Amino acid sequence: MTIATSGGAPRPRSKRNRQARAAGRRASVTLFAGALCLLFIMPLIYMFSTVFNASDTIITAGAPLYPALGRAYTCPNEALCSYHDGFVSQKVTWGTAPTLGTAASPPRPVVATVASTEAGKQSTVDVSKAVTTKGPVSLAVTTTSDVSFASKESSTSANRPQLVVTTYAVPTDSEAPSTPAGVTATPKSATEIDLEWTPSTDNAAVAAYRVYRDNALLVTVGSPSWNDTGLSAASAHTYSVTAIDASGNSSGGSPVVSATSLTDTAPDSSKPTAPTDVTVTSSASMSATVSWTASTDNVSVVSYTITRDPKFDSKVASDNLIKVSGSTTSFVDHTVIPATTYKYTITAADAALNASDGSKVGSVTTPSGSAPAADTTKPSVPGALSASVKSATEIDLSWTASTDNVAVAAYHVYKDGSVFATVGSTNWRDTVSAGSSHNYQIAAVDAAGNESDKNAQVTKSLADTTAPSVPGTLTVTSTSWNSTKLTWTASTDNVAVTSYSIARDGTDISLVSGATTSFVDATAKPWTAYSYTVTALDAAGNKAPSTAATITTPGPTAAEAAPVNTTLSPVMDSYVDEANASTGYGDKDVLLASGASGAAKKIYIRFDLSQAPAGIVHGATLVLYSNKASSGYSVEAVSDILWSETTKWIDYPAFSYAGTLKPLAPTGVKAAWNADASAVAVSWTQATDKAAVGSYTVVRTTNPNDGTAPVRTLVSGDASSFNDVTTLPDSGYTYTVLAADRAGTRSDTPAAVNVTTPTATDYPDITTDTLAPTAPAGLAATVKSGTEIDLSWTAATDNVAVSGYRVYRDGSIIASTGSTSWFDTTVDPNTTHIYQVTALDEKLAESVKPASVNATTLNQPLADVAAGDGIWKGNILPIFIVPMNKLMIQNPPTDGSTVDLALFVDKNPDTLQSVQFIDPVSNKVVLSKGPLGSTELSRHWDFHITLDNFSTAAGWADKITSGAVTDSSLGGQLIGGGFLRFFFNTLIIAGLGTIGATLSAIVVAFGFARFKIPGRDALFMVLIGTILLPFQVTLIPQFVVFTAIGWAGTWLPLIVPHYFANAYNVFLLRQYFLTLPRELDEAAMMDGATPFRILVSVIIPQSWPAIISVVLFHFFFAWNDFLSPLVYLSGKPDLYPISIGLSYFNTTFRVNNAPPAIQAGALLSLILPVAIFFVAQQVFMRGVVISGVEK
Amino acid sequence: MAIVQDTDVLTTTAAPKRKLNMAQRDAAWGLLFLSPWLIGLGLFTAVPMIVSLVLSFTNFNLIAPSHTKFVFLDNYLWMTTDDSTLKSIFVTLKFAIMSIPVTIFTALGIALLVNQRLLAGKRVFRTLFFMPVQIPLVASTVLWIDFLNGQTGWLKFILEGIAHTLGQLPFLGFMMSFTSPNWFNDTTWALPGLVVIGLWGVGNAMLIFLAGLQSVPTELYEAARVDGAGAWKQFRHVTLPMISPVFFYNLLLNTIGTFQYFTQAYVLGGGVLGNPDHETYFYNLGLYNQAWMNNLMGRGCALAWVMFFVVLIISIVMFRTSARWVFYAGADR
Repeated sequence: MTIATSGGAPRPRSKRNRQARAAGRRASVTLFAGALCLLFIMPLIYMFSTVFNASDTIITAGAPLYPALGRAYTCPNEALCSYHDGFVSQKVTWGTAPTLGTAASPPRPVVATVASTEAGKQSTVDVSKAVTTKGPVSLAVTTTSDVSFASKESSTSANRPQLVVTTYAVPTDSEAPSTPAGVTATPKSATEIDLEWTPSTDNAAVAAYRVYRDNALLVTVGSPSWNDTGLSAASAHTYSVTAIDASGNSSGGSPVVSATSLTDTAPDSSKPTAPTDVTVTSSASMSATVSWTASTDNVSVVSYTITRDPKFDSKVASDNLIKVSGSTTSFVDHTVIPATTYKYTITAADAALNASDGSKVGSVTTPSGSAPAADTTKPSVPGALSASVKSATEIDLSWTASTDNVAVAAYHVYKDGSVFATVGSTNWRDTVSAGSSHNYQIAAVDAAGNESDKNAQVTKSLADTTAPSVPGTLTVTSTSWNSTKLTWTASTDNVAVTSYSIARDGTDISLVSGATTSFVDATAKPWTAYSYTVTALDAAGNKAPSTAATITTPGPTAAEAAPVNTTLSPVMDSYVDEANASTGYGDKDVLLASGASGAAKKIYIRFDLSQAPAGIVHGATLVLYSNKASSGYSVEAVSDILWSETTKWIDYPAFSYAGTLKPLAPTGVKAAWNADASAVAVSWTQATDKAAVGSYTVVRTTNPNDGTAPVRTLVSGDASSFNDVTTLPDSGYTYTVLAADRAGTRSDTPAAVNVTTPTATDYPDITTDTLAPTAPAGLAATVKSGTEIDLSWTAATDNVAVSGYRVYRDGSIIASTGSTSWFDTTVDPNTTHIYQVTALDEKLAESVKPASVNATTLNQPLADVAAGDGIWKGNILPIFIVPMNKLMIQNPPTDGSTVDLALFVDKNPDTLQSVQFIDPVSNKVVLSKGPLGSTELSRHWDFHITLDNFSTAAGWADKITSGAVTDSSLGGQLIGGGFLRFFFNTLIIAGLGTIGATLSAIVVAFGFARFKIPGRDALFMVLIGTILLPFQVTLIPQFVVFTAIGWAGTWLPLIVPHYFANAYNVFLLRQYFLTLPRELDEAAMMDGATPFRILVSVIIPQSWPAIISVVLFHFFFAWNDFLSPLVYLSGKPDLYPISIGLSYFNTTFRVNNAPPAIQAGALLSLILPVAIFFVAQQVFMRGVVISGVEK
Repeated sequence: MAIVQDTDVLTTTAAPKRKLNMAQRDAAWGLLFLSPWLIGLGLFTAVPMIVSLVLSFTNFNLIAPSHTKFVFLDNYLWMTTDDSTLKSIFVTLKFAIMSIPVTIFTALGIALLVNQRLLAGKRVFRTLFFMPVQIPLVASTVLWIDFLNGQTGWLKFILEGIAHTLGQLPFLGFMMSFTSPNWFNDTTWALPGLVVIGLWGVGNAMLIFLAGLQSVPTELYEAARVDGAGAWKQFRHVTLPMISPVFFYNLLLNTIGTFQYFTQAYVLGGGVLGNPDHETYFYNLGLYNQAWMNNLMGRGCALAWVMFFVVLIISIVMFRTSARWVFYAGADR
């Protein structure tokens, strides 16, 4: 080297120089090697930093997002920044599981259908039929095609389902009706008091009157009168009436009026006069005729009672009395026997059962005759009984006489089944209680007591069973949107019509008195069809319903209540596979409906109309936003209002900012004449956040302002000065500088600075400038993102001064700038643009256009989701500096603000976003607006030492081996599962293999090195050849055989073959043995040593370095071996060596995105080999050289 | 060799009892010592090779061995029409073309560097450059997968950091637009990524080169210098010829190794052979897939034999052509 550099005899003068130069070269070579080496082992540094570092930042809960780490976004006004949630999944629970139906016959009433939907449009459908009350409303949407609709979770709020409900806010009626006046209570009878009053008035309408009797509510009636019946006679009562309207407002009670029912007519207490002139004759021995003069009574005589001495035979009359009707004044007694004296007394009775005094006795002695023969023949059945009502308490009975072989003595009157009276006449007036009902039968009896059969029973009732006549010509008219009026013609009744009952749609709604023939229904609802009937009632409850009259009520007029449309958002919505309703519910934030393919899905939407304003609901329109054209849908009314959707949410801070952020105004604006540059030098302090500023605008106005337009010059955001060469001599100017962000929002105007230019003598002679500037050189376009290309170029020169530059994009001027750079932020992603920049001088002469430069904006590819870095919630995530305008936040700041967020890569298919960011401070999820290019993110580093990754890795190892560790396996329960087992397995496989490989290689190499064997060299070539033989060629047959002899699934195939000498090791040892002097073994042979002895005593002691090489090589080979254990130990995780275990980390747990723990496993697997290597590196490297070079 | 054989001939033909006994004893002892290898050769190499060749003409599989029958060339013909096999051949060749030169020359470069007289701490550097060879392949692959992650990997930051730093310099502004490849998630960059991983294993080749470099007699350099040769000429005309045997050795080993490439590609897939999109579907992954995943052992044997023949032919070609460019200092040895 000395010679080479000096090229001649050494020159002492330059010796020190040379030494210094050599040292310099030495340093630079070493430095280069060091740098290369650093790069080479960088992955290991990465591994250590990853394994021992709890990643980049540990997520901890704490303060809100802002201010976060690093370049924080500070919400300027907390009130403007808000959070909202993100959708994850949902579940539907049913009150009543939906009934299945088909598209042709839906299970529920279809309220409306839509003929078609359009892609990306909203469709509207009138669902008024399903929406009538203020309660919850559930609708089901069925399609015959496949279409999805935006759900209430849709990120575009305008697309969410809506129900536009029309309500009419009718004024609430809080005014009570007037108090009913002029209440009169008129006693009508002993049981009835008639009430009447002046109708009340109300601002709306009086719906009813409440009648109170003796302070208790008696009845609610619709008419201003009421007949109170059913009273006891002469009872005193108080009455009061209140009026109520449809809204339930009640008037005060009317003044109390009293009335006493009439006293009952006095009972008839005067007895009839005693019958007189009682005459008894007996012309035949077997009969006596009694006659008398009729009694008189103040009312009437209803019966006469005949007593006889001796008494009537009880066989004939059980009470020994025979009665005759009051219209009869004679009686023929057929129960007498001959030659006997009979004394008769007659008593009269009136209806009130007052009995007269007994008449004078009339006596007779019957003629003698023969005693009657025994009579056993019964009389004939009396003829048909007729009963008629005589009065409210009297029933007249009459019948045809019976005949008997002897004579009919009397008749037994049966009343309600028992003998009531023995009557001597063929008619009878029975006094009964009013309103009662009785049945009657008559049997004839002869003197011997023979009773005939009873004649047919006759029932007679004194009750009123005659219904009133049907109320006639019922008409109903509408009086307003909330009342109707009914009129009818009065009914008639045999007694009296006491009241009318008004029924609406089959339900009684009111009573009115029988004197009324009209009714106002003040509780009717608008837009409703009603059917009314009026039923006339009498006191006995006999009814006569009229035919129905129908009406459909109108709505309120605009003056009464203007319609109000309210848009409601769903409270629940989901899509449901009705055939599988308990599990087949939506899990997306869209509503999928399908009918054309796959499992039919219906959409359930529920609105809560209580959210609508007060008023009457009339009219509703469902609005759905559909993603594509379809053949429409139908809407069904779902009666189950208990179904509910449970939506699982994740919180993410969609920190929205409603204000507009402006960049801060530049500070420290200065302007002064710069004689060197012959220009006004304007300078300012750059914004601290350079990235946020897209450009500065230098604004020059004349001072004093003469009204000429300000001259504005743009310079790029990385500039902090500008030379204005376009001023005129001896003039006053005012300069100020505005900052603009990359979206073009300008800052406020900072304080202006005044400058006066020098006189013309000091001024460059611009009038003589006829040369254009040189073209700017070195134009470079740097792609910054999908929407920004940064340009920079070398300053141009001019014979006088360059005043600025023009930036051309695709041939058009996009900017004029005073600086030598420009940020073009008005480009679209993945577009290519051609840029050129020209220079201008102070006369605005333009340079020629230099060569153009092309640049293509980024395509903003999807961020790498395959290899994320951690698990959220207490786990490890990388922190990135993320531009805020890439986040799903409302009104993101446009000033290029960034925020530090942890990248969370979630492979859960349920979630909608594959890439999420976690705010490390608030621990909430932030979604990115879309794919983020890697260049848009930069990493944030923060170190913590942790050992957690090892425990995670150990946990995985446990999982891999769990359940597979059995007692029968080597080591058994002593080792257990997990990483320790992997280690143990590897050590056994490697250790046992190494013993065999080393011993066999020593023996075989010795054979090759020292013995003359026929064809030895050929064999040696075969040995070398096996190195070149791909082991795959023999792997399959070996596998087949080992499987056949049951070695598959054990370690034997990984150990045993190594006991048969590996070519590589043999070669290495043979080469070494050849270098050993033969003299020693020849001497030993002379001493009679066997070749074995020579090998053990002479060769091996000299060969330790090579042998150790072989030991290490094989150990490392076994530690590394992958395909063989993969093939042989498949399905035996308890036997896995560490290499297979680790590969499972990568295949099985990589999905959990935890590289630090995978790296921990890798570190564990490499630590032993690397340690051994460092201890025995010389042996190693020599071994490599021997086997490699000597061949 | 000739002499030895002559001796053998003499001993066998003349057959003097004592001599014969000595030679025979020698041979017998020799064979005894060779026996482990010879038995192994028979058991684990020769017989399996024959079996393998036979199986390659059958539809043998382990699930239904009794249904085995000869299908003749079907397995071989299948290869020529199977898209994934053709793809695996293509991938393997593409990788060989990319990987072998890069690896060899990187190894040579590092060997030259650590052989530099001016380099301080040579042993430390040699050790460090060699050390990754000792890291188990699965561990190193797993490590590199994350190191090369296109989103969060350090190499991205290193490369982009370097590029963006250089981009500040004049005329290198274009470097500012440099973005790191997305390595294993990009079909274009997956194989280059494996080449990068492979560079970690250049330690062996480096050491062999180093030994070769050190075995070049210094007199040759001195003579060259006297002849006025500069550093490049010395390298070109002295170093290169003198190390051509180790160069050949490294090249051969590397080539064979490339055809047996398996572990890294298997681990890389993370359970998906050939991830991404079959772009790393190496020939051996195909073999493993057919023989073990699909249990088509006959097909696997055919694939193995085809590979064997290709390796054999390439080796033979390399040996044959080596005479033209490999310079053996002791050629008559």
